[in-house]
Formats: sequence, C-alpha cells, structure tokens
Amino acid sequence: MKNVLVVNFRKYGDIFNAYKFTGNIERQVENARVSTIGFKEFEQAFKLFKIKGDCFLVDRKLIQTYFKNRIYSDALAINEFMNSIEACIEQKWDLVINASNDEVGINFCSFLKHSNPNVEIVGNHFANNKTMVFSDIWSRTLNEITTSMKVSPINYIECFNQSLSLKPNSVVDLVNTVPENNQIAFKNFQQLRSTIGNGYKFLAGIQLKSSTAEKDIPTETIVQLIDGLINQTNIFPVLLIAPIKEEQEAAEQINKSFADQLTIVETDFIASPSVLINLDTIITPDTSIKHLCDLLDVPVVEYAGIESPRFKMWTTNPNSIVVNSLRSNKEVDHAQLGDLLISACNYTVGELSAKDLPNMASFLTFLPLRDKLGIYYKNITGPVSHEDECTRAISRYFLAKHYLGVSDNKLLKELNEVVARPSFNKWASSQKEIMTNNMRTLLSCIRTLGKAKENSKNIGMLIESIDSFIATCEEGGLSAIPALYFRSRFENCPKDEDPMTNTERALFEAKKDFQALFDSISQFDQYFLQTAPLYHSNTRTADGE
Amino acid sequence: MTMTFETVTSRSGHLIPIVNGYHIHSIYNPIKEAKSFIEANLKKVAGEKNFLVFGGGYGYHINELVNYLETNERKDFCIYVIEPNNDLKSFCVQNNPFPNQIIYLENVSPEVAFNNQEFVNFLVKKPALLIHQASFNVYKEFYESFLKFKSSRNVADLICAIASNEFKSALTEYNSLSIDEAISESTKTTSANFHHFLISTFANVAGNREDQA
Repeated sequence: MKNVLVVNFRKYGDIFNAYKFTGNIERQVENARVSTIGFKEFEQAFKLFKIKGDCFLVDRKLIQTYFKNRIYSDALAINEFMNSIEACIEQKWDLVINASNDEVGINFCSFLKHSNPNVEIVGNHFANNKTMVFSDIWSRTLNEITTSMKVSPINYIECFNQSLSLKPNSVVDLVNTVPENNQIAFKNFQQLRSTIGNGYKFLAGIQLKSSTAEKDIPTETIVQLIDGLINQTNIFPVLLIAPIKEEQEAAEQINKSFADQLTIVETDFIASPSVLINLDTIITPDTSIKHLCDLLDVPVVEYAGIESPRFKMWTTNPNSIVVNSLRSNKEVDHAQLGDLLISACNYTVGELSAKDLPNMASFLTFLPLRDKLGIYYKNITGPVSHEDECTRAISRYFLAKHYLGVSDNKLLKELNEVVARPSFNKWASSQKEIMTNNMRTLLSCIRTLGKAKENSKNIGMLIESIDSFIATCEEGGLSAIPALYFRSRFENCPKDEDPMTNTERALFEAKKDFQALFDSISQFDQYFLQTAPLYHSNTRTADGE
Repeated sequence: MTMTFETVTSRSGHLIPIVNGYHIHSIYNPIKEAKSFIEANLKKVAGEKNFLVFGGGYGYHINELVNYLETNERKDFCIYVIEPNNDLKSFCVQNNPFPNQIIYLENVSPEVAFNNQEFVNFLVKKPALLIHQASFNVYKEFYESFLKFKSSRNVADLICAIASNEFKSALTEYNSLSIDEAISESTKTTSANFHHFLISTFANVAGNREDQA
C-alpha cells in the first residue's frame, strides 16, 4: 500500500481546488491510501472528501489563543500543537504532497522529510541549509513562474497533475454527500420545477456573497440579472445563501425588489453539495463554491473581479465560463454586467453558443478548455490584450514543448483566432529584441563565470553580471522566464553541490530556456505565415469548442 | 499576613463572614444585596453562561446568579470561583448546590491556576468576569496578581510542562532562551534538522504575538 499524505493548511477554496488532483490519487495510483492534514477551522471541507485515509486537524485558533494571551503558558500551545499532529507524524508516509505551498506547509513537509529521508515529497520543502528543494520543474514553475508573471501560463492544478503524473480530472463521485440531504434537496427542487411551470427549463443558483465584499457581484447587478433571467430566459433564478445574518439580510434586500417572490435557499456547508447537484448552473463570485461545483461537475458562471488573479485558480470545468471584469465593482456598468451574466448563464446550460456571447468593453470572457498540458483558458469576448494573449500562449507552448516534450498545435490555432498577424508580429519582434538583449547579459555571465573559475578575483564581476541578469525577472513577460528559473536554481543551490558548478549549470539551463523560447516564437511565426500569409484585421471566429 | 475570621448574623437572619474586620456581605440583608449585585452586572450576565467570579464569600451572590440563570433557562452554565480564604471556601464547597457546575479553584495561585488544563479550557470560552467587590477589597493584592499575571516565556520554565518528548528535545539547545528567541534562532539556522523544522511549523501555526489579548 502507498501511504500518501496531502498537506493543506489553506482555506476552503484552496482545499477544494487541491482536491481536484488529490481526489484522483486513490483512483489512479495503485493501492494508494490518501490522508490529509489541515486546520480544524476548515474541517467541514475535509469532511466532504471521499478518501480512504485519515484527516488530521490542527486547532490553530486554540493554539493561537494560548500563544497570544500572556496569561497562558506557551507549554499549553505546544502541547495542543503536538497533540494535533502526533498521530500524523507517527505514521510512515511513502509520499507527502505539499498542496499548501505556504510557509507552514513547507516547514511541516521539511520536518517530515528530515525525520524520514525516504519519504518522497511532491511540491517544495527546505533542505538542511534552508534552500528550497523543488520536487521537479512543475513545482518550480508553480512557485516561480505562476507567481511572477502577469498572465500565468499554467493552472495550479495542472502543475500538481504533471508532478504526480495524474490524468486530467475526470470528476466521478469525489464528494461525500448526506443521502437524507440529497433526498430532501431533490424533492424540494422537483417541487420548485413543477411550481414555476414549463416556461422555465433550467434552475440557476446565484451565490450572493464571497469571502470579501470587493469580490461580490454588486447587488444592483444581481437585481438586473434576476430580472433578466425571469423575464427574458427559460432559466429560473434561485438565491443561494449561507445561514448567516449578513447573507440573509442581503437576500432579503434583493427579494424586496421582487415583491418577496424570489426563491431563497439557505444551506449549510455539509448540505451544499446536495443543493448544488440539483441546479443546472451556478453564478458565483465565491472561490470555494466554484471549486466545489467543479468537483460536483456542476457548470458555473465564475465572476472574477478586477483583483482576481488571472488563470491560476479559475474554474476548471470545461462546461463553465469565466466573466472577468476590467473595472472595479464601484465603476462597473450594472446593466452590461447583468446582460453578460445572463448570456453566460445561457451558455452554461447550452442555450447559447460561445460565438453569440456579447462583446463588451469592460469585460472579458474565457472558457476553460483542455490541451496537452491540461486546462487552459480561451478568450472568447472582450478587449483582450494581444500582448497578454501572446505571452500566455507562447509561454504555455514553451512549457509543454520544453519540459513535457509535446508540441501542441491547438495553442497555435487558438492564438491565431484571437490575435491578428500584425499584432503578433509586433509583439514577437519586441520580445525577440528584449530576449536577445537578455541573452547577451546571460552570455556575459557565462563568460565571466569562466574568468571567475580561472581567477577568484573575478568573482565580484560574476556577481555583478548575475545581478544584471536577475534584474530581468522584473520584466514579468515572456522574456523574464529564463531569468526566473535561473534565479530559483541559483538561489537554491543543493547543499551537496559546489555553488560554482550549480551556477554554471543554472546559466546553461537558462540558455536552453532562451533557445526553447525563441523556437516557440518561431513555431507560432510559421503557423501565422501558413494560415494567414497576408495581413488581415482581427476577426474573431471563436466558437468555444 | 494573618487574617482574622469571624461570623455574625445579619438582620435578615443570614450568616455573614467578617475577614480582618471587613464584612464580606451586607449586615442588613445579603440576599437583597446579592440581587443588586446581579442587577449591577446585568450587561455582563445577559446571554452568558460561563462566569469567573472573584470572591466567593458565603455564596449569596453566586446563588443569586444561579437563580437568574435558571430563570432564564441557561441550565448548562459553568461558574468558576476564586476565593483565597479557606474558611470561606470550605463553607461554600460544603453548601454548593451544583458541585459540577460551580467550581471552587483549589490551590489558588495564578501560576497554578493558569496551568490547570480544566480551568484553561474554561477560560478559552471567554467567561464573563464578575468581581465581588467586598471580597476583592480584602484580598486586593491577591486578585490583582491574577489580573496582572504574565506567564513565563523562558524555555527552562516551560520545559517540564511540555508533554511531547519530541518537542522537549527540539528545545534542548535553547534552554537559556525565551520561547520567542528559540523560535527566532531556530528559524534563522542554516544547518537545520527536523527539530528546527518542527519548531518553525509550530511558530507558523501559532502566529505572531502582536495582537495579544
């Protein structure tokens, strides 16, 4: 039996998101038994998982109460902490996955690794000298590339799927539900469907609140959305709220605009899956509900506000859609957003094709699709930045080609559909110029390294040239990728390796990265030439397939 | 300091303890006084079911508190009483109508009390603090030592109260430091073993002490 521990000291949304790959381990890895460790305050999320192993919970709130209050002895905090983890650290783990990817997760995984060197860690942990050990290129990519680039080329889930050699998530019965809740929810929703009449074919849940007010869909928009759904579509809206005062009041306020005729469903965390599976689509700004819906295979219209980190943690259900606002909630046009959400809702229930989605100046829409690397997001409508799209597509192509050894023409085709050749050429030309300059800096590092090896007096020069190369990380675009990987390799020299040898290897890896990036741009260049030998204006042909 | 102790009977016919010449309850009517005590603390008492009472006296105010809670259907209450005078405490313990719910702390000293796991579990529930002023005034220094108590943060003082041998071993090299210094040193080390990572994990979970209660 392979004893697997998934370390996840994150919040609800991240716990659900990580379960998209951890849920597949027992199904795809022979004799695997998966256990989890996380914070007790998110126990309800862990309880929803169907896993064979244990769930270890650390009562962080209690530990912090002891530690932060001067009357209590720190021994109480330490005892509570050790009681929480004791059963976990006593087990012999074959594989530990750091899905947490934060400081506490890294330190805990480091503790497990240094307690038992035979344990395999997927993700990152510390070496004895406190340098970061990345389990593979995907762990490095997750930590260095997705966090530094303006547009992430790869989704969080796919980094772990690649590290663990898991097939993309085929959601099958991953979530625990309470049979009684299922029966009650089914009965109630059947009753609702019969009450609302034949004019409505679908039920759409509208999640009112997210973790912060800035992420919420504005109330004025929700009113527009509900009004539009009721009067213009065959989709009947249902307000979804948690049994807390703030949400109850928000629902009541909206309900007043509709003469108290709306259907409001109040559900706790454990009953949520039973409710969600009875709906045809969910409109949500909330991270945890979005990922829970992905696990339940319920399509969502994800509202991603301007602050939402793009591409890294979005919905992964290919039947879902992301509506990404380019304006803050205060500046948003409620009528436009309402209309777009209605269209997006129609798309998720199959009543509208992607090509018929309205194009609006303040919003982008994206569809989650699959390519050879996993989930990626195809822009469908809105004033997408051609530079961002080129960076995203080519950095993704580079990752698949250079680190996975697969070349994916789908990306070439998708970019070609969104970005016109003149835009691409302009972008490619400027990127090649920047990369050529950066490559010169890199080559200067390599030359200085040779001199430093011959005479240690030249080490100062080497450090100076390396600093110049690392400074290119700040560019944040495609040209920054080799420097980002280099910085990670250079700063995290393995403890048993000579720093000079490590630096040399990291520099040559960066050189290979540059070559692979130039090759990737060339591939796109050729594709654009073949498919569009003559310049043409940007005409969208996105059909969402 | 030696405390004198005697009892008298109030005009209402109730026993009244006198400590060092101070009447702990009303010499006229301790029951009426106890009702006033609850009324004066109504904001603290309303909606609460866990109470820490400084001063037991002969328990009139505590009985009145219980009456109030029962009237308001809060039968799952819990009251901890801190009373340093053994004569008073013995009387209260002997006449305790709810020994499972009204608990008189034994060996009362802040050091012992704040290491008593049951009492700590109770404190974590953030009970309402009720101060019986007459008792407080007689033993002012004692009660203030509770209010001002700060637990030791020296590793050497903590080590015997830590149950885990693993964590004890991890702290061995920091015996002369405070726990905060131990965490800082452990986090800074560039030659870390599993013990250092255990301490760092604890530090990450426990958080910083900035927002101290």
